[in-house]
Amino acid sequence: MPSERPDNDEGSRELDVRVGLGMFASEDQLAHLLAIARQVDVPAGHVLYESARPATTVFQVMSGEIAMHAPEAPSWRVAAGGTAGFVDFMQSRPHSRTAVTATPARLLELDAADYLEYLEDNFEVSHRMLSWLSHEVIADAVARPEAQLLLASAGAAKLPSFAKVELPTVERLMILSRMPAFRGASTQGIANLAQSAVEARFGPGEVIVTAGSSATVVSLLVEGAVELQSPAGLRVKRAGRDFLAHVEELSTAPRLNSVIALSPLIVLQIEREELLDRLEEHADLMMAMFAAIAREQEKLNEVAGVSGIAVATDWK
Amino acid sequence: MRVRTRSGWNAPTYNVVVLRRLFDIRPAERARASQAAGALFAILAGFTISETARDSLFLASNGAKQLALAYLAIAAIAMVAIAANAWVVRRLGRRGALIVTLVVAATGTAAFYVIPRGSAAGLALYLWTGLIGTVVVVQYWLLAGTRFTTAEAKRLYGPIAASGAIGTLAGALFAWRLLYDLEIEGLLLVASGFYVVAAVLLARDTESVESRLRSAEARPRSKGGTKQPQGTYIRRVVLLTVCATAVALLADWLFKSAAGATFRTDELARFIARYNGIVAALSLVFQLIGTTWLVRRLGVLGMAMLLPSLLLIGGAATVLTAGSFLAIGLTKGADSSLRYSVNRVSTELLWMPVPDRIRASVREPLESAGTRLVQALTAALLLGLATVGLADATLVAVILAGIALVWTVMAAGLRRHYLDQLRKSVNRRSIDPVHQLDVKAIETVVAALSSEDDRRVIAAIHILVARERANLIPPLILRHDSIEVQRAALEAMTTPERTDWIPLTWRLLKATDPRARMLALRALARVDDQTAIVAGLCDDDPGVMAHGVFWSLQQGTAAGVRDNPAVMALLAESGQRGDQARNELIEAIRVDGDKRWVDVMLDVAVTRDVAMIERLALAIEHVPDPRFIPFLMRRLETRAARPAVRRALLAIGEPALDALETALVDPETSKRVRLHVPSTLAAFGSSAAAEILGRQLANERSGAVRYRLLRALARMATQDEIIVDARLLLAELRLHLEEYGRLLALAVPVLADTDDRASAILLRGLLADKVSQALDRAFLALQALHPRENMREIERAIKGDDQRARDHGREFLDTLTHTPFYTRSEAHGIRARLLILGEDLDARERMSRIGLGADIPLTVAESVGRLIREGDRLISACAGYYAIELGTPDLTAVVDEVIAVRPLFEPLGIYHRSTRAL
Repeated sequence: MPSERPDNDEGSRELDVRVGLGMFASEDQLAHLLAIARQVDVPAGHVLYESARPATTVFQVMSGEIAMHAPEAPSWRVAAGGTAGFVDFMQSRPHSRTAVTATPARLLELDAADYLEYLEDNFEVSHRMLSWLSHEVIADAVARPEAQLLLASAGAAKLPSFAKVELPTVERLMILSRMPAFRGASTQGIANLAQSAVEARFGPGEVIVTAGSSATVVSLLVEGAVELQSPAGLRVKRAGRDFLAHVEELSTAPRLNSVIALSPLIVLQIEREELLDRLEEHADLMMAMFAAIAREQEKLNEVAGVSGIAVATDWK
Repeated sequence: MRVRTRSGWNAPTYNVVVLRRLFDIRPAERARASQAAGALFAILAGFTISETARDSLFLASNGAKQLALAYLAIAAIAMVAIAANAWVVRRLGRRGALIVTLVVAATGTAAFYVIPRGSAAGLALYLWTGLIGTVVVVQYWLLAGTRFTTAEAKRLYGPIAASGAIGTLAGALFAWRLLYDLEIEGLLLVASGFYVVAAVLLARDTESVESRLRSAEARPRSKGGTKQPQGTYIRRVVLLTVCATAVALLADWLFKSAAGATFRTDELARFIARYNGIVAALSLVFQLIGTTWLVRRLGVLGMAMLLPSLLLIGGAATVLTAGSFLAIGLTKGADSSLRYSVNRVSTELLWMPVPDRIRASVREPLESAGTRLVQALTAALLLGLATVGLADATLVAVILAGIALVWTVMAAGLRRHYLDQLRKSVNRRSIDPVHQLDVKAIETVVAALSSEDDRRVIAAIHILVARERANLIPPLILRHDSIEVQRAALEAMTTPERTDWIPLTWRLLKATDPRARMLALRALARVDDQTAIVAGLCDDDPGVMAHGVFWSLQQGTAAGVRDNPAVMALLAESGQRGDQARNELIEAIRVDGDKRWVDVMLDVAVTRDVAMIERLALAIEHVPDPRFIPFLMRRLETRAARPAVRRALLAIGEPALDALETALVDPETSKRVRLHVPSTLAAFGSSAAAEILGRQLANERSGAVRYRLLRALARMATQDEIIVDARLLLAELRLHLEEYGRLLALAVPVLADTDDRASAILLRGLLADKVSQALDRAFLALQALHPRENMREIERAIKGDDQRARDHGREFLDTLTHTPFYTRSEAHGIRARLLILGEDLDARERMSRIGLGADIPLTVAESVGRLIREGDRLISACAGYYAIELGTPDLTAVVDEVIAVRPLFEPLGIYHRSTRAL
């Protein structure tokens, strides 16, 4: 059975909270985290949560290892520094796997709703986390042998073309509201984004983003196809209505991939500052972005499991 | 019954409105409420009949003098019965236990029919009936607490208690009528029959609150966080029950003593039956037309004060009239008619915000054993008084009035604690900003300074600094490899009290990493180490050299440093080396600079580099000067630098405040800057800043800026305790509540529609968001009006899935707004609109209840047509888009008509009929 750390080890709990959860947090924000995080020591073989149960609790692993099982799928193993339960929680769905401690583990346990409130209440933390997580996901994906599979888009469905007319606001709103990146976001939030967005058109062969540069806009592909090109020689084709350069669009770090138009392109571009203002006004938009990253993280984990990579993380 | 009107099937007839005011029982609640009401009717009818037989037989055979003894004996037996009852509850659950108790009550009461009259039989019947009254009624209301939520209880307990009052009245009338045909003992068989009926009704009701909450997938409450003490409120509610119990017994003793002395035995039974009938009728009147109305008018707390106030008056009147039968009769009458109606409902509602676990562990023993103990003590007091010959009506009335006074005062002082309890039941946790650590915890933190994990070492340093225990950080930590650890350690250790870090810092001056050399130079220069400054001036790294130049000039007395050749060289340096040097120079000024560096900073203040802007803003905060205002105002647009820019403007003070007002008022100011001016003004935390925000709120046209102005005012009210003009806030609150109602009424048919076309889904989503947004703004205004409350939590509770939290949120709003402030003319209607928010009603019903039923369009097409004409361009455009897809001639005509007067529609995607085919 898990045991809560005794009160006299409060120093240890605060150290764990600062190290495990305190990324980007100010002292006030740390106080918020300290109010919601519980430190627990758990023996090997303890079931933290079961598949199909509501994702109401998430765990930050401070030491030890957690195995996450799913029927007829390779298990994920989450080591110190990783977390368990976030991928499900961020996608607002029940747990897709059963989490069991593989070794004795020290964990920080958080009520998922409490953590959601923390993210909503502390935008300066959440938008930095969003940027950092998107960079981590894209860097991980690019480094994998399966990068092609991970970064390619689902492809373009047959949709009405806007090649000859300018995108009106309501159409923009409809396009954005159907993009996976905005699944679950409020219509008002998406509408504000749609109104902030600027329509840009590129011809075949035009370089839209150069690897190493810092983009000041977030681009959403509406029509056409592009190729992501990494300096290491990776080539990935993307089409359909989605982030132009995968979740790297959300990262503030220098770009890992160049983006080149393969066909006439229609792109909606939103200045990063504008995007952040909109995210601050609409927590639901922010959560939709986190959900998008969680979906990509899940793909990475699945690939890691299939490839036999020893340790995957539920979240970083 | 509903009638078809212009506004559709939503305008109830006058009769329905009146009935709804009296009995607001909703379809989903009818079965549960009927079963509960029927069971209470049967229980109290049976109890009243058996009580009539009991009192008559007891007074006839034992006399009033033995009443005190009977009270004591009931208390003793109740203790045993309650223990047995607790065992049965554990085994069978609350419902099963009550059913078994009723069956036993029926059997036992019937058994007295065959027992011959006599002193012992009279006492036994008195005890048996008293026991049933104690156990069954308490069990019933505890069971009801698991069947209904707070909001349901507020509406349904009145009618349910009314059925109890009807039961009491019916029981009294039955008894009175039956006594013409039957022996007194015959009443006992009739009472048994009613108990059986109650048991059968209860056996049919199986749905609990918990099962309904689970089916609604309520969001689980937080398990962790700071524990929230419940003590004070519960103690007060317990004390109310104690006072009520003692007073009831004293009133009963006064009444029965007076009646026994006034009537002959053969008249006594009929008098008691008649009296019980009158009291039950009064109680019924209260229930039927009083309780629901009183809940609305007085609130829970006002209702809780009603009975004690009347008993206080009755007790005082009895004293003043030297124990007149009329005064005693009225006192007892007030107690009997209100105790099981108004007071029962208010007590039940007072317990509602208490968590189930605590409610069960405190209330059950209180209302069964606790009240019996109080009765025993009161009876012992009466016995004692009788023994010494002082048990006269006047003295007992004095005691009664004294206890009623305490009860009244306790009830009057409950508001703060009740609100606090509701707050706790809604808020998830409280955050303790100063989290203290004990010695053992500090030892753990110090041990972490030796960790191999750099992040853990830095965390340990920050914890020690935050607890003012930086003296525990050993200087040897400066030997750590990590530059971040070195930085955190040096910042923590370089205090006037410490010098032990200096030798190890000299070592850092020779480090290969220029960042380490900069850290060392700065730390050593602060303690006048000339060697370190010279080393800096000679360093190859431009950043280290910049620190060297800064400190060499800090030592001097020159009035200006701008013209110093070394500084000029740094400013003129181009390329990456120049950027690095200027960055570090500004960093040095940020930490240790003074006014002499302002000109240098102005030279740098042309940068577009975000990191540099932030650093420069931090330096301006350290060396404020009004000349930086234009630079800073423009930089409000930049998120990364914004917190620093705000602090810099704050440091500049009044000139910055004036500039912010000018920017806010000026329509030419960039939209992005204007959006961030309100929060910047709020950072000033002054009345002057609040006045600027208030003035602009009254005149602002942009919805986005209005929202930010309101948010800034709410923040100032809560964080800085700034008093904001209440009239302005009331106007805002009214505006947004009206907007909420107007939009919701307009949207009802569209929101209820199931058209799955993309444009329909889009319009529904947008409308739902706009309605929610209006509510957000109303709650912001409410937050500014009630700065000490966490209105965000209340809003979350009201909007959330957790039915219990929603009910408590609504009750909180009810109590919070139950003040004279909300009765002033400017606040007219606000309370009703707020209270409807937490009601579990569909939108149509909700709007009807606040008088907006007539504003609801009859059809989707009418709704869309009106939405196209909305002032909000986006709603209008989305409605227009949907209208074009619907393609009806009427809607097409509306679209064209609107386009003709609003040409700006085209960019939104709405074209005139002539171009639509293209």
